[in-house]
Amino acid sequence: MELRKYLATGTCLIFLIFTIPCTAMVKGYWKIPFYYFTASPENDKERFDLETNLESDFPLYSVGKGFFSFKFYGNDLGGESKGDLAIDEAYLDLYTLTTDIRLGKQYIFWGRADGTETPTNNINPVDYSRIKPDFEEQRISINALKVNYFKDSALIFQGIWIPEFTPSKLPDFSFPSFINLKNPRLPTSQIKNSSWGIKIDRMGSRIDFSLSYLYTWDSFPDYEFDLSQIPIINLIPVHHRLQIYGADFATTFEELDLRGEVAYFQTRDENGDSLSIKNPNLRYILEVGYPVIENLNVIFQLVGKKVFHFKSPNEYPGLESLAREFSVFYGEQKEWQNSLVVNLTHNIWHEKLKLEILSSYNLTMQEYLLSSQVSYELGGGFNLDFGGMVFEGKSNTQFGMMDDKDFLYLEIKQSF
Amino acid sequence: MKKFKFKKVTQVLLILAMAGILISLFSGTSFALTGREIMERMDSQPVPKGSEGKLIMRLISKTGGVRERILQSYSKTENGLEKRYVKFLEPADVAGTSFLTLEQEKGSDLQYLYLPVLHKVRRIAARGKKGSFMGSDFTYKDMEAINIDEWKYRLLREEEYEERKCYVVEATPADEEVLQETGYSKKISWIDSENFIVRKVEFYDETGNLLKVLTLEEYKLLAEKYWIAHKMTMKNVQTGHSTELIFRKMKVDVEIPDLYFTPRYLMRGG
Repeated sequence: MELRKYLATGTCLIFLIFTIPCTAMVKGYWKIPFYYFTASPENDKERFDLETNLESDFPLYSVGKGFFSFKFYGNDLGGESKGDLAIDEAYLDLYTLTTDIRLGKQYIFWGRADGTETPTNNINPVDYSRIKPDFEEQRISINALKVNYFKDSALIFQGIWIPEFTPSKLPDFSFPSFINLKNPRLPTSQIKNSSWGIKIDRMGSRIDFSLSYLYTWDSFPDYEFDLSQIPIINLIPVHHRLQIYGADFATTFEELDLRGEVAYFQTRDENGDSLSIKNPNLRYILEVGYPVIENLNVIFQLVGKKVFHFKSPNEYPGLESLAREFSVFYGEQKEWQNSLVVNLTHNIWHEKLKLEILSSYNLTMQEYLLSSQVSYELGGGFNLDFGGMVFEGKSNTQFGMMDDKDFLYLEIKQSF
Repeated sequence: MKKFKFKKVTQVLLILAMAGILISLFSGTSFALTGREIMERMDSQPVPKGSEGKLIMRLISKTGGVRERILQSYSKTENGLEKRYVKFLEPADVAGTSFLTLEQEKGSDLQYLYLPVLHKVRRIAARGKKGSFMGSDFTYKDMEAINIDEWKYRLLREEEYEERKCYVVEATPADEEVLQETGYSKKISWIDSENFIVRKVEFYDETGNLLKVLTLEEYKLLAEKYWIAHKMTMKNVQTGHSTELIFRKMKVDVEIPDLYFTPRYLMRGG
């Protein structure tokens, strides 16, 4: 807590010092999405939210810049209204001849593949509790220091430091009746619990690539269990240390975009002995994007995961049910899992209308996600979006667990 | 009497012929110029080493509805290779989106895109040259400097256009590849006969029908040597849609920092 206090006070002071002499222009947007959950109970089918964003950047004399943005979420305005005003981003940039430094609340995205949940993009946690048609908007900003050292214009060494841990927010799942979920156990705010990472990035050559290492905490909890009250099993969400070794590349060939990422996740359970801790695993993406016809682009991705020291639930005698639940939560139902992702985007009427279809089919577990969106530019900064998302799969799959969360939505947004 | 008349006609013709030779010698025009030579003269116009300015793009529908985009553009040419940085300022929902294009000696251009919502720089392939430039009626190919070797030229005629004396030159693709790359079976250009700047271009589709008409207006002489059109209008006559590109605060031969043409600058968010 002490560390957090110092950080917050320090950031505020720096902002006051630098922002007072500046006249910044404020930009932003407001939007009202209306959701209709097709598979939810009758009294819980409809929901509309309000989201407002105000942001501004300002120069810091000639040595850098500052940026801040606030977001207000009004969730479920027609029902159990919940408001939430938060600083989304607030950082200061300092530029020297060879180094760019960013300090403050920010997003740090690694990886070159499309989509946000790619193997090497593990720095900002994810908010799964807030349903969003745009996955990019589900990330949670974090306090961090990011330093980019440019050896030349194409070779970049990046170091990041994240002083305190922020967990991902999970949706409300209905656990089996024999499970009692306890409060999560989080790492304390101490220097020794901070996270850090390094990345070497090569750009501007025939093939762009990077190598990265991240020493962090798993933002998705493992679940320790307590069998002292059998038949009730108490589950305690616990976050463990995680080391991620990553690599990515991007290149082009004629009109093709070729991208890929691979990352090895060294979990705390190095030998796969523990039922309650995720096993070490390897994740990868291979991607090809190309224009089918004018203004119609398609992206194909092969997304995979290999679990090391894999054990099936049957290898945990007496705990098969629990092991089965864990395997779904941890995405460890099979030793190998592969998914095929197809993303189609079509711009028509001089980009006045945009159509997008995304489908992700897990070839191993035979589960899928289907998402579609139509965006229409009304003019005057107004946009109208319409779309839907369908999750389908057996109960022992991750999309299957989201089966009752299918929705249609209509959203109006004004940017200014 | 007859002899006198003959002598007089001969004298008049001689005078007219001499006048014609003198006119052609001193006017610098000439009937003697071929279509190719006219295009070479146009192509040899000096080009700024670096430029910056605001670009207003107006997308105008058939019914007159207007959507506007405003971009900040920087470009620089080094060793004959162009570097270009473009950032969207408006509309608000795409503001901050930036493109970096680095022309390569061999192979496709290097292109990078920064989308503020993704917080990262993405390398992208140089898409088909026939594709629309940012939703406009211009294709990427239309926005490039012309490579005169890609076309065969024929001087059709000379005529006045907008009170300027112009050469009317027809260009046809030099080979099938150019036709495929551009989608144009023919281009007809109106080239000002005094300063060899382009006033108007007609583009014909692959079936030979008129597709688009480009008009270039508001030419200004910058730095006393560069003729720059400050307004270009491309009208698609088949759909009725048109695009205006209006340049504002244009500066040429300015020293633009090399930093602007690096992924580093994109990473900063411009």
